[in-house]
Amino acid sequence: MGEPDRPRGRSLIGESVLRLEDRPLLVGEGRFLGDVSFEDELHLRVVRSDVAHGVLRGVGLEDVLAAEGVVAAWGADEVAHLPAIEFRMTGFDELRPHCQRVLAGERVRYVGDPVAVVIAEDPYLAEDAAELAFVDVDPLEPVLEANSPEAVAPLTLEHEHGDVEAAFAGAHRIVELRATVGRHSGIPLETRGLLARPVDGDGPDGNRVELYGIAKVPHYNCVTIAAMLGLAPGQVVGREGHVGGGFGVRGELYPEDLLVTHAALKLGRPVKWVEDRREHLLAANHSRDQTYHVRAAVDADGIVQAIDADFFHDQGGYVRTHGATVPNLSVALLPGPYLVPSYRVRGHIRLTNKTPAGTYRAPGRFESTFVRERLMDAVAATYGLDPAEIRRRNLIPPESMPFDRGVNTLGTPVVYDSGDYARLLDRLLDHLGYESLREGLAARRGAGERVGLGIGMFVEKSGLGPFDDVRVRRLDGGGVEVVTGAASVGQGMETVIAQICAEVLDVDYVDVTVRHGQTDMIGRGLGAFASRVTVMTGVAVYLAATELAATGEVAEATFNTEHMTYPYGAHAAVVRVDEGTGGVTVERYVVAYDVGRAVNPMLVEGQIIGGVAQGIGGALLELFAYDSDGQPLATSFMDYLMPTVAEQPPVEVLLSEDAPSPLNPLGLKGAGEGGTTACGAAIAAAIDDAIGRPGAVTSLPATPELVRSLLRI
Amino acid sequence: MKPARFAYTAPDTVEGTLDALDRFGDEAKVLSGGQSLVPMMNFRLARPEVIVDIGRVGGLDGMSAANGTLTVGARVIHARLEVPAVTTPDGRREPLGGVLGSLLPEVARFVGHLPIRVRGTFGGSIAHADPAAEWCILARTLDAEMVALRRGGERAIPAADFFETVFTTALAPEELLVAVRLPILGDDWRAGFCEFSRRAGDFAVVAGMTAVRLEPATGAIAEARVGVGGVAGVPVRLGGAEATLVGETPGAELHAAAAETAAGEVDPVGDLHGSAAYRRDLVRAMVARALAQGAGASG
Repeated sequence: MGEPDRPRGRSLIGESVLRLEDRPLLVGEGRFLGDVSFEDELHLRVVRSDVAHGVLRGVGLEDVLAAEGVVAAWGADEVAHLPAIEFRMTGFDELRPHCQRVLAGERVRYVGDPVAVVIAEDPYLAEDAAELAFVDVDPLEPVLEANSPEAVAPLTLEHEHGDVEAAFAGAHRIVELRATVGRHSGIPLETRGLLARPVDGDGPDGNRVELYGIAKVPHYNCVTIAAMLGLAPGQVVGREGHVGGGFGVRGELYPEDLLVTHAALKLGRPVKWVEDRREHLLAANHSRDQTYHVRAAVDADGIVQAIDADFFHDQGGYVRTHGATVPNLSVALLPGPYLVPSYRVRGHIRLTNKTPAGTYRAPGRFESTFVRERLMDAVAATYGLDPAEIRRRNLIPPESMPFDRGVNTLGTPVVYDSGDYARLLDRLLDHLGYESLREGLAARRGAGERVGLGIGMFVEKSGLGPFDDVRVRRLDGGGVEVVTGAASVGQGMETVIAQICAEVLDVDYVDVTVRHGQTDMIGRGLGAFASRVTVMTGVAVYLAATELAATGEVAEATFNTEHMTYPYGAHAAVVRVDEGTGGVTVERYVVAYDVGRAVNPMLVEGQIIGGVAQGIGGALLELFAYDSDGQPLATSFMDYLMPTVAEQPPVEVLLSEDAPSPLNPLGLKGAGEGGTTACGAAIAAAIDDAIGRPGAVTSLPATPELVRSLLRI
Repeated sequence: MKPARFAYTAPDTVEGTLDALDRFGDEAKVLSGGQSLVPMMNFRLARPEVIVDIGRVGGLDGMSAANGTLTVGARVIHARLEVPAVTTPDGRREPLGGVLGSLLPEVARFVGHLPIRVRGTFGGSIAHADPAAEWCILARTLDAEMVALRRGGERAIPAADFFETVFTTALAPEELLVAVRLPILGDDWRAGFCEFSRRAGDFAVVAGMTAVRLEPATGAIAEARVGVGGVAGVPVRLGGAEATLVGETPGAELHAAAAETAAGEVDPVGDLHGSAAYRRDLVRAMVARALAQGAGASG
């Protein structure tokens, strides 16, 4: 390890020290799933439905079993004793009948639905043999629209507070909007995968199985896999290695995780499955795909007195581990940073014949922020007010903090813990040089260019509890070891946790080793999701290290909290539209974000810049399109278009620490998602401004064809 | 995404390659830079029995100019066309000047990304025959000749005959594309190329190329070539747009009129990245911009 990039003697919290994680990655010592192999390992290949909806008559495996190198092949009967995969979050009894089984038995419900597995001596032979499976399906008409009457309708989430009827009855103006966010998702550089290795054990649990490639929520997945396979909890051991990105998608419990583990135990050999990119685009959780109809009751001053919202959530073919998490978050966070005294919402969860959906960075917020901010822009246009001015009038004032939103999400009441939203907006506008920027853009438009500015505001949520445990001990030789049940998905958590620990113990952060994702090292852990690790694990390590400093012994601490923290942000986009093609170039992007207290500002900026890339993808490029037969059209990187460095503008980050969280001793809030949240909103508004048509962009992605069609009207 | 089983041979010479192609016939596929073939094999969209890798074959990566013709060896990588240079008969390398020397870099910069441009080859792209590929559009627009060898024979196939349909050319299974001959456009030519893709480096949704020869005395257009890709199974020439241009003097109005004619004479099929109507719209923009670029105007 080299010298830390900081002057000695200053507080470590708040320093942009270099990442502890980087060295092994930069010198080629990364150990991702693909790097892990054991002698005698077998390779699993999943046979998937190529029909979107149908009755599964059977899967003929005779030719598969006769093929070179094949050790085993089986269909649903082999795993019929395994239950369907349960919810990890936000479960509802109404959704339970739609949980996915490990292999489809009677129906196939999307292209990519696993119907059989082949296990062979090498991955090439497994793929060769899998082609020989005869999947006998009687096709049925696919359902491809969530609001179609044929879509299975298990549940509508409803919420109402205030007096919505009175607000609409007394409204000065009613502003209405229909808006859609397209289907896209997280595409980590490392695809999913798992290697299950049976180990003869002499410990109390006897024989065990180790899982490599596990990510995000190792404890939950190991315990759940054990329960589903009839094992004791300690018999399934998570061995998290390097993880090439999570984004909500990677690390959830999927059918393949059960199939691989089951195969390893049944065959008594290590079994490895590495998802290929086509599989990832077909089978890993999709996200977004929500369609809204919203109305705002606005008073004479442009204050939104009520929002009445109705939306459809396209869940795809099954309900997976996230249950109703995404629509639940949409319901709760749609009102965002504005007062909106009265609010009514209905979120219709519908099943279709597409890939099942789950969370993706800023779940429920990218969607609801797009809709809410489009609504605010529509109110501004209706009243002839500047978009910044209409927002300023509606923002929750700092003296109203903490602010009870009057709605629950993820089992906890939404109470904004702290914030000065108007101050952040001012900071953004000052940085932009708002008035002169607008004048400059108007001048360019006058000279024939199609350029425009859009802004979007939002409240994020982070630090989901209810607990995190940390154990800290001093090592011989002066180092410190931190053991946590959190996980690393590449976000830099080792560095952040080490910084907090080192600050308390007055040691060098490079001497702190952070052990995570090893389920036999610590009894429980909740992993890495929902921008929770810096807050939950960070505070837990602060508590444990404080105790260690006092006692000198091994210290353990738990941080418990019933409430989330609420960072907030404001985005601004400047875009240029090519009149002849409809192509949109993002010239400039600014994110102002308040994280309460930044442990490592460089990492926060990195999170935001990466988040913007994904937000631009969702706003302009990425779309899981389907044809009328339910065949997915974006099954490779030629057709699923992620932004490249050429599409990503330089991102200016205004990191703010105005509003530390009062809910934890360090004032921390999470930073994982706010770079993504308002990209759709800000870019849509900027396109409107560029083409001189307020409210024109109501669906994402704003493809060149769509923008060109708006120019022709 | 692992390829189906295939046999592999890597001859050292053109003769060895032709022998292999003769022996394996349509079971064989030539591997040059592999930038399209290998992904297609990984997707199992291509399942050749035998890969004949010409990466070790010498003599196919030269560029030379003679008698008004530029000969580009099949294994010249895309990146070399960003800075085109020819080898003279006495072995010196000198930059390719003139209209074609200016045009080739304009086109090359649209080909994929740098890692693709340093592995993928000019001839590989032509033989792969993607209808939206830059070099295919260029070859069709300029009436290039593809030089094909087989055991005991050589023929030159005009572009109009070479591209048959998507990913399909007139090359026989036992033939090897060894070079492409392009006309070196004289100083009385004006050429332009314009492309629209969803992201930098993607295949074009629509690309357009134009080349017009001006009468020195009058400045009127004596000869015109308009080619587009992304609207059919092969790159196409647009005779109507060409006729609109001939005899007229270049200018914004004429360019718009030719672009309008061009949009009217294509019959595209829509896909994920653009409907038929949108592609038609893009033909209008790309042809107008290529003409303007050729005329030295902006936009």
